[in-house]
Amino acid sequence: MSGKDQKQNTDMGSIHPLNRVVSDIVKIFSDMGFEVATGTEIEDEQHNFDDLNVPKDHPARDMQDTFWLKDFPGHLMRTQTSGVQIHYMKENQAPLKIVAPGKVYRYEATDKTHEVQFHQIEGLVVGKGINLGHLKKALNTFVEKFYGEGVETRLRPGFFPFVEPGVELDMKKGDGDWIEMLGAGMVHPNVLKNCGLDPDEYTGFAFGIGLDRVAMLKYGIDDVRKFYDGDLRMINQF
Amino acid sequence: MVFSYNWIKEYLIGDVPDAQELVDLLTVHSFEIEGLEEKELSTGTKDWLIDIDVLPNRAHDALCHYGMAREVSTITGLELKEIKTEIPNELKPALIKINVKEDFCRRYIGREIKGVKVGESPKEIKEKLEAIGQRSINNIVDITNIVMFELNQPMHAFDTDKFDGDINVRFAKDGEKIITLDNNEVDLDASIPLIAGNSDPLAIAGVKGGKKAEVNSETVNIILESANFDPVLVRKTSNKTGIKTDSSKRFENEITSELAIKAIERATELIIKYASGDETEIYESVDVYSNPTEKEVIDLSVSKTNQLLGSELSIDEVSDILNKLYFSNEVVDDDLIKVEIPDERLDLKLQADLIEEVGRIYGYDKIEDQEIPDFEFEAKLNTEYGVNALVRKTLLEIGFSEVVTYSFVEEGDLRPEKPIAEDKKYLRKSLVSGMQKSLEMNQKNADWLGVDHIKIFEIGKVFSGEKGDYSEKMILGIGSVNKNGIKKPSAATFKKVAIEKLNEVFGNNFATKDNLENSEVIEIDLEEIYKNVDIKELFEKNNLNEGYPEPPTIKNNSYTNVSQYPFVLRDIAVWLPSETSSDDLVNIIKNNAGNLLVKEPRLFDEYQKEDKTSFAYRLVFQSYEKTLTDDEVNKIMDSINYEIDSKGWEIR
Repeated sequence: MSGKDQKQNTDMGSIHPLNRVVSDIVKIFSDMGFEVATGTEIEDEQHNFDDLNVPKDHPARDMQDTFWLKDFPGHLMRTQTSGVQIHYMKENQAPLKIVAPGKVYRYEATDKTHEVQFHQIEGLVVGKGINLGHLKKALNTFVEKFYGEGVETRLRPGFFPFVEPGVELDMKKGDGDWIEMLGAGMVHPNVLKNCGLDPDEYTGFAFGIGLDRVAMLKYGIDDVRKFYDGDLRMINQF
Repeated sequence: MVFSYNWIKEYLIGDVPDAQELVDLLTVHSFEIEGLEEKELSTGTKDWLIDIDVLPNRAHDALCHYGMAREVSTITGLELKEIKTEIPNELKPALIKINVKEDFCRRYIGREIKGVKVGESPKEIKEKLEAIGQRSINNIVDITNIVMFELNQPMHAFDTDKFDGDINVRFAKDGEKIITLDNNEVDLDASIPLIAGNSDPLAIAGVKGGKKAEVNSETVNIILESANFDPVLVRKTSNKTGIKTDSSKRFENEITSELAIKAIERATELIIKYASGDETEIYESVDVYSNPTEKEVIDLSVSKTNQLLGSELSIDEVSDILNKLYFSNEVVDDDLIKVEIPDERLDLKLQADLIEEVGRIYGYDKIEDQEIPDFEFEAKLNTEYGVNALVRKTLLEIGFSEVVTYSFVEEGDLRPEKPIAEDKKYLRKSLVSGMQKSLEMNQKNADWLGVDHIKIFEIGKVFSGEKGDYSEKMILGIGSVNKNGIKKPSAATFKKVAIEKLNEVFGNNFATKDNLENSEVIEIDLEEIYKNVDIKELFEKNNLNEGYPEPPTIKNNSYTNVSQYPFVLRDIAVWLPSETSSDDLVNIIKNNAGNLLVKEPRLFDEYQKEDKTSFAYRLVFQSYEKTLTDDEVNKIMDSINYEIDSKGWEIR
């Protein structure tokens, strides 16, 4: 490398790898006609859990350990960006096609693969006659554009209270192992109802992608905590 | 939960697939598998342990070996054995009284058995318990556990000679205490459900048994309990007392009250088989069950099924799948099937729930990808996302790198009820502390990074407020510091340039209250920008006709780990004849330094004099295994110098 090349390299700053992944994924879904939706990181119980068919005092809530806000009863740091979709559905009704990227929080001990904050992008399509085949197509298009061709995928049963059926998508490159990629499913009729939509008229699909995990897999980053310490020795590699 | 492959196999007729094949089938049709491990038990028997992640929706029916065998039967087509319990007909009339005083107890079945022979469990019971990681205690206690792991019904046995009176199901009184089976004293209060004698607490209902009526080697007479408790109350009790057991887990997930009778008969049968003698007397059970469960019937429309799954299943195919699932069903007309829901499947409440069952057994792999139909929806640009993307693009182009720091910090206004760590007690009300830490670290690593100026930005939420009112704002933080010893241009210059550039791009006033000269980090309220900007016009003005700006081309597609050990610096300056390329010098350096040279040599000075040019490089040495010593680095420098000498080049 000559001195001149090196100078060019430092002229341009580096985007944080998580936001690169967000941009890439938003681009893929924008090309499929999705709109970006955003929302607040402090959310209320209603939008983070109740409207999403996660009942109070139910073991399903343990699947997402929560930071409850002191002195603000019923308020919490959102455990998922799904609340954004609830607000959007209530305000805009159907049909709709949105993706919601953002930071989310879970109360859990940190280690190489767990952090108290991480990033998600969730997608939601609601319209007449939306089915699981449409979900498969959308997810396979995402995987192919994001990871390149020659990646195999499979859907298998999963459980998230806000979808029914609930599925998980795994992917596999060549002879490698199946790797869990994301959770998805057909929007639960109760969720549609909670947002003022008639589940006999409308159906929809939803998916949620953990961006930290996706970035770790894509770039070979071994420790999720490295995303959050502001170390340019890592960030400037991208 | 860990399942024993051998145990599941006991309930199936025919050739059960081997453990690996079974795990693959369960993965695509039923559950996520967390692990598979072959194990030789202490008896010498070989088994496979399958760790299956049974989530709350299936904890009602599949958190037990018989339930799992039923699932295996559904997905393999193998026949499931029925568990037939055989109990002698001549039962003695019940003498005990069971007083259920509260609604939290949905059903309570008690049965007295006198003259049991407490002892070691037989091999077949011990093996099952060992396989799934449970301790064998004695035959009676083991049988109650075996039945739970077989049928999903938690059970308990009380030694009737150790307490006075009837069985009373009630709430505790304030001030009451119980010593649990594992010898912990637990303070009770009026919110905690109990099983008690006439005076003493005997068990925390659904959660944990007490020492008082413990079954041990001296026990002769027992009462078997098979009961059903309110899930929410068990959950609250378990949280409050901090006691989580296999029993509380099943109750808080909810199980059907219909299980209780099957379980008590099964346990009785096993006690007769493994823990009885000539003196043993079996009494009739007492069943307190005031609101029996009603059978649920759900209408399933085949056309709706196909509409949701995107499939083309015939009514016969759907009915056939329901049969495999052991759901009694009746085809009513050419579209409608009436489906009777098995008692244990508490997760099936709506048609969509049944459609999922049909879909996963049919196989999601058989469903074709389909293009999303066009519908009347036009995606609008999102102002927040768009502004952030353009801010990011603008700052990247003038050499700022983006960081993302923690939202939890040491100081702030708002905080979570339970903080994760002392230094992360509050939600940040500013980006400054996180960014300053980043600046400080990167300043120390400036040579490693090969830069004289550290320039970073962060776009993130901050939180403030008090007493019933809080606010959440998106903030842009811009930070810059110089490497130690570098004076010009001043660090403030970069922040000024950033603001100018943003104002140029946005045609807006990017205002900051912070002092540009003295602050390492300045902050700008982006909410103000969102308010004042028309995102469409802004994008048009900046020739972003394709939508949101895209990130710059990626430099590397894979990440190289950074060593945790300190790095060592050396400078080298060499006069090269004008016909010699600096690449030759760099190659010598790289060849001699090997992989201890972690960065490309950085050219920091170059000037020409007559027919020769001086090149000065800064070298960064670092090991992945240890802290490098001066000596080790000096040796490398010596060999570099030696080779340069031998080329006849002059080292300055």
